[in-house]
Amino acid sequence: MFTRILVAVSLIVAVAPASASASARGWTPTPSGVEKGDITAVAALDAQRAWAVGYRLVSDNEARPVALRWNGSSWAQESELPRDSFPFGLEVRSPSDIWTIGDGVQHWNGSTWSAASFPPASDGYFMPESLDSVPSGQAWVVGRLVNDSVKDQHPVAYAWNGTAWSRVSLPDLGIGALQSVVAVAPNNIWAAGFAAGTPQTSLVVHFDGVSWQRVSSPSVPGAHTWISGLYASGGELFAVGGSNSGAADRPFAARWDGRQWAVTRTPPIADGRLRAVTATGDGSVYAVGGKGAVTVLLRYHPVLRAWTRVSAPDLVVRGFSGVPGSSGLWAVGISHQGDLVPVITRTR
Amino acid sequence: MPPQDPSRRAFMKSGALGVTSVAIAAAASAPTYAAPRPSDAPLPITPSCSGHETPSSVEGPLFKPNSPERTNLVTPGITGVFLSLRGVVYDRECKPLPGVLIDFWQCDQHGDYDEVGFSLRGHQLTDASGGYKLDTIVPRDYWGRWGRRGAHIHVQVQAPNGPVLVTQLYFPDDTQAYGRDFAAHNAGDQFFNRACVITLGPLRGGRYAGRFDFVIKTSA
Repeated sequence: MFTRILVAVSLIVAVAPASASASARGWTPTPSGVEKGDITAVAALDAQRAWAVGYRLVSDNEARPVALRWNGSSWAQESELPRDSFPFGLEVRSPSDIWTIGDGVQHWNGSTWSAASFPPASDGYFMPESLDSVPSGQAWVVGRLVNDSVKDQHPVAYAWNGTAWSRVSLPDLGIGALQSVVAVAPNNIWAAGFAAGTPQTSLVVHFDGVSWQRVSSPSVPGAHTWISGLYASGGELFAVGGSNSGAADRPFAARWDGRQWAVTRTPPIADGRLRAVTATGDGSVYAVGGKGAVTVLLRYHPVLRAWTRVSAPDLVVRGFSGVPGSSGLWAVGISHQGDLVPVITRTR
Repeated sequence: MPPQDPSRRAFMKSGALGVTSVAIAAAASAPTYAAPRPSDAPLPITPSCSGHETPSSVEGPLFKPNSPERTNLVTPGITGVFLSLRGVVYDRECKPLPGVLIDFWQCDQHGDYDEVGFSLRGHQLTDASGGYKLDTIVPRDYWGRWGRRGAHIHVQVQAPNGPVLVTQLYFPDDTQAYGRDFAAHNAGDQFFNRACVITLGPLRGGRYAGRFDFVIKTSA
């Protein structure tokens, strides 16, 4: 997230089990104005300005992708995205400079959406998964190129120089996908996902301003492992995802300390795969995830280098965002009840 | 467009060869399909083996190799309308086949496939009687960047050293799940094949029992 770089995390944090304020976080739903559909991503510039995207099902035969805007007290639809764009990722740089990813990448200039144009790839159809940018405007989007099937997909990344998108040169990463990207600086970009295999393993790559290289990253021995979300703060990076050894998923998390990646301890929550990680304005790092009926919110303890469970919002989480300058969090998704009932909820 | 289109084209190309006379007959004679519903038993009527090979279908773009070996795909977070699917894999002489590899994959109650992990994915081997069992949920129809589909379960079936049958299982028009109109979604699904509809018993306590027998080739 663009706003992430405004956040500084102090490593000197008192060791405490989930603090009273964190464990007692109350989540308050805010009406989305979308009766049926899916809210898939959210991003905030501050307490008064946030955006969410998803789609509104107006009938069984019509889905309209929408962008909603929070004005500090309520949500309202700001715009409608191009049909079939199915956005699920969001990067808000300013009210007139917004990227979404879904079936393609779209950009909002404050009045209209336009589809990003990528150079044609002979080795598959580009399916973006994550986008991040730096203050100067450069952006990176990662995902996979798919020919006929995800079984032969391979990781891919593109860079935006302010004018055009170009494909970056990745090392041979085999079959797999990049699920998340974080742009710390133009010469410090990280992306992560998974590499197919028996078992599937985590995959991390880094750009140092000159070239992209694969970086050794941990996986759960004997289990399929993947990374879904990245977050950078100071010299640290956090990666979250899941693992599966045949039964229910388990959370998976790792941390880059400036020298290497190492697993950070997570509670063994069944179906507690993690989807995204972010920080609040007070420097607390949170990861969110779950599957179906299970929703998980974890808080990171810097000194223990471990995650503990705190009160999670009551929804199937699709997207998650901190609120710069506050301890607030937004979570969006769908209700545990009913069929595709959108939910936007927050905690302050 | 995501890579559903090449698959659809591939199906259009091979579908005429893959669909057996059974499938054509079923489609022609049954404009709507209602599962047999025994009034006093949760299990559906067991069909007898016809000897007609189960029709193939497209694999689709979302198969992942290396799924876990398991017969129960219902993990703690999985909600929805539960389905206990049972059946037997036969050869074309209606002899039950033990040791057949069956690999299932499907979307969840919200219409989402797990693309990063292996939720609602699993493989198993048929038992000594050729039987298999799968505890799962009725998948939802979906509409998104992978296209638009009625509810279905993907499956690959392979006898030892035999060819792989790639097909999809569907649900009766009167299936009750998620408030969805299965008849409309079946009618709108370009791959729907009435010869591959699971036979369902009555819905009891949010749970269906289902039956589907496969008939496969054991050699190319």
